[in-house]
Amino acid sequence: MGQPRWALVALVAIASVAACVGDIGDGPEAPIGQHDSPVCEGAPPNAGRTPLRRLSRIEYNNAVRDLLGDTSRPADAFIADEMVAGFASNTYALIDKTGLEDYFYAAESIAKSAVAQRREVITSCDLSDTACVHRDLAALARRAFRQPLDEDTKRELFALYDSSASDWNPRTALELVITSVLLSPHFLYHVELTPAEAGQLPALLSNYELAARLSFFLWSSVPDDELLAAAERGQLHDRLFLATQVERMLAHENARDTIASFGAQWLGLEGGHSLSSAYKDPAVFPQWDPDLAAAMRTETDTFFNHVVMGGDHALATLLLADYSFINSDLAELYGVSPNSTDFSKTSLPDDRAGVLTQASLLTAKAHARAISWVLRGKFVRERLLCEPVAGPPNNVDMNQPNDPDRLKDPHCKSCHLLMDPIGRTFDAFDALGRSRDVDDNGDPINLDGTIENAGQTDVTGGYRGVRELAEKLAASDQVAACFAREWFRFANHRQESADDACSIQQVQQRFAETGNIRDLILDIALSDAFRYHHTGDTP
Amino acid sequence: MTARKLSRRHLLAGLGASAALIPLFNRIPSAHAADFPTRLVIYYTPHEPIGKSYWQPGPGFQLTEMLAPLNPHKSKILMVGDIDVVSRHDALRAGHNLIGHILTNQLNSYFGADYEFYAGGMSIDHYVAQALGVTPLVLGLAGGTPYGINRLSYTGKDQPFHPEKDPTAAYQSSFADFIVPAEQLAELRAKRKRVLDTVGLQLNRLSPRLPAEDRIKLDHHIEQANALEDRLLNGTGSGLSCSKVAPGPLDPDINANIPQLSRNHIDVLVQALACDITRVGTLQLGGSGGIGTPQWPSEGIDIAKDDHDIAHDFYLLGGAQEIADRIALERYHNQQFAYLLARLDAVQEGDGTLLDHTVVFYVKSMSHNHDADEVMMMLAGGANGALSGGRYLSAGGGASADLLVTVLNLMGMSDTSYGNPSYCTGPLNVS
Repeated sequence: MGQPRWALVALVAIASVAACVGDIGDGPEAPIGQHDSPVCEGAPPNAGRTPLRRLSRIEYNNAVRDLLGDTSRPADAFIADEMVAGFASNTYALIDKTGLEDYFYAAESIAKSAVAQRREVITSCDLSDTACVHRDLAALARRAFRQPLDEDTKRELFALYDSSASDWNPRTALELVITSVLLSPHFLYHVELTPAEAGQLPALLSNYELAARLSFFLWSSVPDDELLAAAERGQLHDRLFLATQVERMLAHENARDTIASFGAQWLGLEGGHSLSSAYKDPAVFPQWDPDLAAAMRTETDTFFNHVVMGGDHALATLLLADYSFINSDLAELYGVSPNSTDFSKTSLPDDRAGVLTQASLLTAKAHARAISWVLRGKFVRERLLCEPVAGPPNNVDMNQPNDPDRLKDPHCKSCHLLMDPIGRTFDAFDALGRSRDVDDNGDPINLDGTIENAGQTDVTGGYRGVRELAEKLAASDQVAACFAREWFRFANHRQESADDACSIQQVQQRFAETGNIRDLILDIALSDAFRYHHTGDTP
Repeated sequence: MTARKLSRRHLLAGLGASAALIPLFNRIPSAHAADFPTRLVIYYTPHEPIGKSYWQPGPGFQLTEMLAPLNPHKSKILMVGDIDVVSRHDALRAGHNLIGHILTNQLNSYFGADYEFYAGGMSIDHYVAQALGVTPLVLGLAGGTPYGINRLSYTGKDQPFHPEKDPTAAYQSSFADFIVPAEQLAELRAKRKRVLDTVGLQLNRLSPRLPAEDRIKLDHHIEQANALEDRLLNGTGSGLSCSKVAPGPLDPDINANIPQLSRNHIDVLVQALACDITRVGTLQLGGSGGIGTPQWPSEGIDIAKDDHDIAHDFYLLGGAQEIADRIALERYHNQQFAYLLARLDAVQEGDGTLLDHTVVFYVKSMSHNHDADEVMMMLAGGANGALSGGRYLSAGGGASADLLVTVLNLMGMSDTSYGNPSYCTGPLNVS
């Protein structure tokens, strides 16, 4: 495009607020946009403030799996994660009675079953050898807290063990220590205490804090022993060494959860219009059931992992692939003959293009019978172009899901022009993602579309059908910059602020050149925003 | 009002599963100088009550079709119509998001994009509970999505109080003292105390090291942990008997279980009130967008359509079937409400019943088609003589917040406004 790359940072971040009639009021702050492009060359490291965050459900599940071998996924029964900008966050709401009770009863139950069924994971010591048990408990707590125990905590945990072993028995004592570890604030919260240096300058996170950030980012879990050992040796302050750890962890099986988690949250398969809770009219879609929903989710998870972990790691492939990973139920949906009953790589017809035409996305962004121009168009506008669309004015009639008159009505059109023309392109796929020749009303489908340019969009010209739309998006610098921003938000569990501008700019610059998602993940992990901590004040 | 710890001494002549529970309370001073304290139950159902022509009673308080299940209790129901959720005029988003306003009378607090919001203040269940020195029991099937669109009860701005969705878990944690045998209880408590004290040491060491904005979170965590420890260790336990029935285990995530789960929640709450484990309860039977697919023939409803779609199709398609379905859905909700009233009325308390000593506040957050200008709500029960039913009252376009103040006054509190005073005009006179 004609603009220098750095200017796109400011461009893409401006909310398209002015374009929409609607009551914005005291809504969320627009991302960076209102600020001029930063001068980053030679500037000191900067990072937006990361508020104290609780473990998300996937993090809790994976942590107890890796610490204690518990694969029961206890956090699935917890209160759903709070989300910010569409990614699990748990940074705003304070813990409440129900949430704390969730943790309490889960901790007791996990501890009990770990001691009863997997004691060797906790300690292989003879339980009468107190010194040996102490060592293993300290090691477990260090892994759980992602840092070495301070003397007070260590002493207290040992005292808990000793007194309980004496008052009851050693197995009970193990249970109680593990329960307390799982209830510790050092387990439940991502504690980052590295104080800021003089004034308000952000400080490099400590080695252990970096290890935790890295493992929760790349594995959605606690660090392994190798990463903790590197932290202990102080190696993680070396950017080059840090990069080798990122490579190692990205090559590991444990990264699959994180890649899939990004995909699901980016596509909006969890949260508001979730895939698993989508209701479909059984008279129209008798095949819709939890198994089919799960299959769609597996398809998308597998596809993301294939592209990012094993394939060419390219955003272009995410958007343009002419294949997916489907089982026989999905093959029927896609109108292809299955390669096997199990999930396997299958070529798809040429009206399909990557994630945009996957059943998961198309199904989640539709209603019980009808497709949704708004949900599909909004997804492209907000999650691919990073142009937020304001909400509807109050008291507007929202019963008609796809009303062409919205584009003529002065109260509606400025916002709907940003969504409906894009959404209409997807008419070729019904509310379960199947290809069709006629729309919900039985009329022939018009595949022509445009992306209405609200003054910021670099994707210009018309297109015909979703594949051509995907080609335009894949070639767009704005989409690349937006995708990088989405990963930034995912990795940091927050919206970016002005202090993140240089980190984001650097990350976007490289991604604009390569479109390589693995490099993007690496760049985010190496960025100042990820490695530095801005505490906001001194305690 | 100073929080006063309740002294809970009960003698109950339990007679089995359908027992009338007979608690005897120490005399506790209350505004009504009654033998039994006044309780509060808030009952929320999703969507709107369709529209005025569907709920407005006929002469002589003749109930319409969708409200007919309430006929056996109508002498104890005061229906209030023509309520306006006035705060909606200043709201960034109204419609479903008004669920955040309805018990708080504050504008919502948006922290992210779209539906990423929480309510802007404390809801009245917690306000009343704090004044009484109790923890409210907040139960319900509120939908899994994490947004404010499914949250009704708050301890403060950005502090949602999540409903417990599993009635069995709610029962176990509320009645733990009574269901664990006494000898085991002592040992269990000793173990739990040791764990919680150990964790407490870590919490108290960590909190001062955090920056102010984060310290608030941990300090709140410490408060909750202290409250949890208090509940676990200081219940009334040994030597007392309180006859009550555990709900049968049911998977709370299965649509077919919703009606029975709802009744189980109601049973747990009624028992908790009768046993004076708490004096405030909130039953949130649905998120603002709905509760599930009402394929429940044993409940007299069998529609193969998500209730959110039922609500929308009433406006979108508006045919005879859509209208019948929509009425059937509201009838179902009112059947469950009738069950609550019946269970409260079955608990003998002195010369009256638990229902006579309770304020039941039935709320919805919309009036018709996402609007909120003609909302219908109900007050039920006797409020220890302060509330009389069997009639309909029009609020004449008065603010929904006025009704919140009325509820506070019925609970013996002297507040003259609640939440944002610019959205109040004064308590609705229900005498």
